[in-house]
Amino acid sequence: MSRVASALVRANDWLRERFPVDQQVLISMGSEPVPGHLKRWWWCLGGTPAYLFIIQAVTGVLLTFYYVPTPDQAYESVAAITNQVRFGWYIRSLHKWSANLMIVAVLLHMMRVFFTGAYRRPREGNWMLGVLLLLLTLGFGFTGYSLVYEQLSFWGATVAANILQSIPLIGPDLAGFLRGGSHVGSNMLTRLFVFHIGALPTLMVVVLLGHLLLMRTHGVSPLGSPAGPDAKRFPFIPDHLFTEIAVALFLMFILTFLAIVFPAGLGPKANPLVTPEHIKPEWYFFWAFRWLKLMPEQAAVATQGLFIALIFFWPLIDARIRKRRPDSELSIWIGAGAVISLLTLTVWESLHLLH
Amino acid sequence: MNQKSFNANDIVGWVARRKFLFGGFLATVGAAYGVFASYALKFVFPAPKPPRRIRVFLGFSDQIRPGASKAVNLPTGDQLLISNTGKINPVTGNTFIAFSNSCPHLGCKVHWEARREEFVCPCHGGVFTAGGVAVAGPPAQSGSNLKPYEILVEGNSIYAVVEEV
Repeated sequence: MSRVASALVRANDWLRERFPVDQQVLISMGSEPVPGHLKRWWWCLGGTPAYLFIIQAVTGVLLTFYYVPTPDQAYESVAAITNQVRFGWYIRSLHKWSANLMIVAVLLHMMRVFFTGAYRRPREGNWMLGVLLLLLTLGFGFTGYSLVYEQLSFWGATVAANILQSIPLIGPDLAGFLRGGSHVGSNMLTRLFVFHIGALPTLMVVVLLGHLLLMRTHGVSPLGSPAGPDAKRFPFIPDHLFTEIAVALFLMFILTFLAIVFPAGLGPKANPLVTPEHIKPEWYFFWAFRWLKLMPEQAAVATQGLFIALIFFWPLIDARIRKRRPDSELSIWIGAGAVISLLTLTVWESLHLLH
Repeated sequence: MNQKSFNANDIVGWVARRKFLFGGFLATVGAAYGVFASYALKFVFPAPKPPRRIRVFLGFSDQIRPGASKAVNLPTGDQLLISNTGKINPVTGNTFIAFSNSCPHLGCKVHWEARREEFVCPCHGGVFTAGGVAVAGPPAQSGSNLKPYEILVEGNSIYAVVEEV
């Protein structure tokens, strides 16, 4: 045996003694056979937001090296990142576009799970964790956008805090907690920053681990009859892992393309004394923004809360329906109705903003 | 004869193709993230900017008479010694020379001796010409000269041009 080989054997023995992990158990855990339908591209959508979250974390840490979370320097530091720091425009654009794609991927993943009925018993709990992950992702979007401290994001944060205030009973306290006072200023910016880089990522990682753990313990949900595409099973590692890596590579290409063709821009600096003529949130809140314009504020906020609760508890409601009518396809119709309604509100608001 | 039957060469070719494609896949993944990592590294380490050059006022020319010299503290923390040689330098067009007054040997302060037209270090006998070149003592042995400063004479005012810290 060569000296290098014997040194490697010794190093391996040293590590095995200090970290007594049964490698065979690890290998068998990783190479769990998964049903054949996982070969389909739609079934890569769970890994996609997870991968985009990693990109968010890496680019986010990089951006934190230069970002200054104070009202008089936040905007200038973002401008410096965008215009002066080497590859700052690229890192910031990757961060922005991966955030947008992450929301798209989460919604598509959710639709895939919903329309294939994968949320049903015994996976109701995992659906609820998934809804929490969606809400956390939207929370990331809101807090991140507000950190730029340009006119639109400043007034977006102001409006959001005022909407919170209109929630009955707890509203004023919630708004006060978010603002850190009675008006939007340095306290709110610090809080948004802490939520964006501390609290939300921690919650995200914890809930994501729970989501993955439940997915792993329940196993991948079956699709169709066992004699169908699921009959031919394949190992998770390396087959599915390589599919996800291929998706990741494709996403990196798309993100770079978007960063180059549509780099993250910067509007005018926040001015607490002048409200811009047309304020708008990010596209993923268009539906809620349009809804607010259709009815009194409290009614809009209450119905939106109800809608989110409905999504969260849907597996339990669906189980009640199917108990009475086992062949009911009501969930498909309700799901399609919800998707079409959200799309309609979003397109309606975008058309309104275009004019 | 069955046209679809494989022979050993086909199988070897198929395996080789799989290996090649897999290698290509891994190389692409490596290249993509390698490029990203290089960008990220450049992002983390700010580009070195050329330091800004600023003027530091040293005094009025009529206050530093021929043979006299004056020590001035610079914002860089160094101390500069401006001396009037009394002879017009054909390159600068004036009679002033400016050097750091720290001896490159052990940091003692040198002074201008007008009669000898030399800078002299009192500690170990280091001697430098009006051009700052070491000609005697330990600095001459190690070939260490006085650090020169660029000066600018505008009207009656003398400035040093130094890099901003």
